[in-house]
Amino acid sequence: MSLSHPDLWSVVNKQFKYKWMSYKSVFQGLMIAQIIAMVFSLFGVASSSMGFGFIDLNIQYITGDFVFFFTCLWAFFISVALDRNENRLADQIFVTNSWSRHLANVVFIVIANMIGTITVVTASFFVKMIHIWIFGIDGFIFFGEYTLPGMLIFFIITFFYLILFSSLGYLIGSIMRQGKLIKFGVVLFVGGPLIFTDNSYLIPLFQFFGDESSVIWFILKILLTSMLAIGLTTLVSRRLEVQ
Amino acid sequence: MSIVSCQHLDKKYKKQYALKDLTIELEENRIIGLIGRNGAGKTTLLKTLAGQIVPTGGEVKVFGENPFNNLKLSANTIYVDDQMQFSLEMRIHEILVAAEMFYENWNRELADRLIYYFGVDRYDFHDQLSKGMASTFNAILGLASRCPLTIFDEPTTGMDYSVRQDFYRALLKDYIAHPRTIIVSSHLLNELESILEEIVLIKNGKCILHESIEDFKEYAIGLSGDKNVIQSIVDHDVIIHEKELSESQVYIAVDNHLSEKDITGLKQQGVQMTSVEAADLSMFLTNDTRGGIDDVFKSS
Amino acid sequence: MFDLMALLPILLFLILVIIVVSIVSKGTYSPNNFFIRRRNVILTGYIAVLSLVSIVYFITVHTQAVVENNEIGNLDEVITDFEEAYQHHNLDHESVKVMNEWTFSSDLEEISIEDPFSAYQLHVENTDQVSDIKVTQFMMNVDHPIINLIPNANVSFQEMSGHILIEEPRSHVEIKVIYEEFPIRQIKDISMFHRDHLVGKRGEESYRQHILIQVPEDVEVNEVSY
Repeated sequence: MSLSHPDLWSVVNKQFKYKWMSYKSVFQGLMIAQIIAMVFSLFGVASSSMGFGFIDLNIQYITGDFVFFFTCLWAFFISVALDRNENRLADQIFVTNSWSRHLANVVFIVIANMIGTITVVTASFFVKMIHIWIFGIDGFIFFGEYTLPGMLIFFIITFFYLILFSSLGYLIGSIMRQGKLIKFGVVLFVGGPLIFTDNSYLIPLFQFFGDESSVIWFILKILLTSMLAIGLTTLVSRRLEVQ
Repeated sequence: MSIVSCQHLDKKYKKQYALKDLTIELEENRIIGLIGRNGAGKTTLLKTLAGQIVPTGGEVKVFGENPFNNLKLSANTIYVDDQMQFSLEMRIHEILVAAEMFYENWNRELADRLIYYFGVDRYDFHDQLSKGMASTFNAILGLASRCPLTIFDEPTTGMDYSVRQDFYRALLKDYIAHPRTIIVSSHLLNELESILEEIVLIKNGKCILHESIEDFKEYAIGLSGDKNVIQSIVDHDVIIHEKELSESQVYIAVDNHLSEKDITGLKQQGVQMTSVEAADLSMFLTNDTRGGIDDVFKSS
Repeated sequence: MFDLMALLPILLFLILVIIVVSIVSKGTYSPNNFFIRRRNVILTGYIAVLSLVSIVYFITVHTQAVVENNEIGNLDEVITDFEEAYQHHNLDHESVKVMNEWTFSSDLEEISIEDPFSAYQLHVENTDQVSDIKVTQFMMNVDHPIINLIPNANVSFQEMSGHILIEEPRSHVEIKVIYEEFPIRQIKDISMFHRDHLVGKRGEESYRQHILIQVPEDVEVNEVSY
């Protein structure tokens, strides 16, 4: 029987299709996260009051921010779970090696995040439209016009934020799978301070990405960070493959 | 051409060796039976060949290459056991679509016919299948993918008798139509014997025997008769199995390398010679003890 | 930046919610799950509904006036013009927006003005251009939808005593602002919580309400102060 000589990219392509068939609940998670976010958004995303001359002005902001942040969390959590042992064993049944598996995971993350981006943008308008339907259009002030370049920026920046969260999740997931002790350590040293401190140590991190107003620099920063994270993941997860 | 070649293979888990100094060469296009007791290292060896485990020592070559993390090996090998972890979110018919996508030689018609014959529900999820049904489905996957190296690790776990017979028959028929290298492991030779061409016995992580099935059937000879007579003639080293029939009578199985003189000597003393069934022989060889369960209950 | 830090408690809350939801919905992996069986249809339907509503949103909204933050920032010129105009009580100037007018006829020679809340900046003018008492509420002509939310002053005149009472009509206004999302704000370098973008750099000053009371030349005006 003649041997087949697969090339890496055709295997990656097949493996992505396989993952698309098998990771269905990922999109269930997306919908649940976004629907919860939309329900929260009905109560207003944020509000502020100001003394405005003789008027006490109470401003309620209606944006898709909740949907955006929820979807970032979704991107993070699906990526933590993406390379878990069950999935790796399911890959092993068919044609794979560690490169094709990581590449197919990355392709899956990219495609899933594209769907995530489309739904973030449209769900943002959905939230606004629901508000208009409930309260009537007259009570609103419209800040900022969604021009074509603006929409493009909306898509691009959202997409790269999701990629950032996903690649960090992918890395943290692979670190957590190194052992029970390490898993505990990650939860303790990452999760603990997040809940019990004022999180001021995160400011530089947020500033690094959140204060970048140049689209090009922003994309470069994210690409570099993501590639670093995924590169580290391939190194870290190598230990697991050698059983 | 040898398709599998292992040289002094070691695999150590914590403190225990699963494989120890195992050396084996397997030729292309054979059906090979890998027989050993539970814990002998069958699964470790097969997973090493499938590239799922990295040995701690020695060298393994499959298709002339290191199997670990090897795309070519993965495309030409399928490893089937009863623990196959399929996605929980895929139904049987989707798994078949995936298999067809991955394996070049996949035969959809064969798969569909076997699925129909064995009554696997295409719309079930894999973990909804009963244990026997899951094993059957896995075996179908292994057959229909027609990989140049097909590995079945205890494929019949949970299958009932008639399904086992059907499976072995299907395996043989498909092998004859499309020859390829098939390794089937089992702790029992009985039902497997009729389809095998070669047999490999493995014990305590070592390959203790590798013969064609014809040679294996001639490998040993059974002697029954007076204990003292047999022991005086037969060298103690070649005894494979020994069983006391009564106070003075004994049955022993020995290597079939007795000299003409010994044979005539034994015959004159009234010792009966019988051939040893392959299934029994494999059991004798892979057992840890020379005796049998009877020895445990023998009052000393 | 400020946005992210301010939203962090909410984010942590969301993380908790997601964890709880994921624990509760462990059953989603079980076979026969409706979503697992119909993933493609449900996902396509979800995206279709969201897209459709988005299109409806744009159709609904495209006639609405939109605030761009650069419009409000550049007010210096208007401010100068406005200050000059109101000092000369020239309400016809384009920098002035008249909010409301009242006219009261009176024969009295002396009237008094009462503004208990000091909410408005009062201007009083004796002029021969009017024969009756004319009260005008005006402000700087800022092109901003917030103007529509500014209520009219409550001005009443008691003919017997010649008493003009100016009252604050209400003190609490709720407005809803449809705002851009965080990714856009980041690139535009604006923060949701910096009201400058919403109400302009001069904030309340730009929206200060003035009241001009014009009375005929021969009428004496007393202001009642508190």
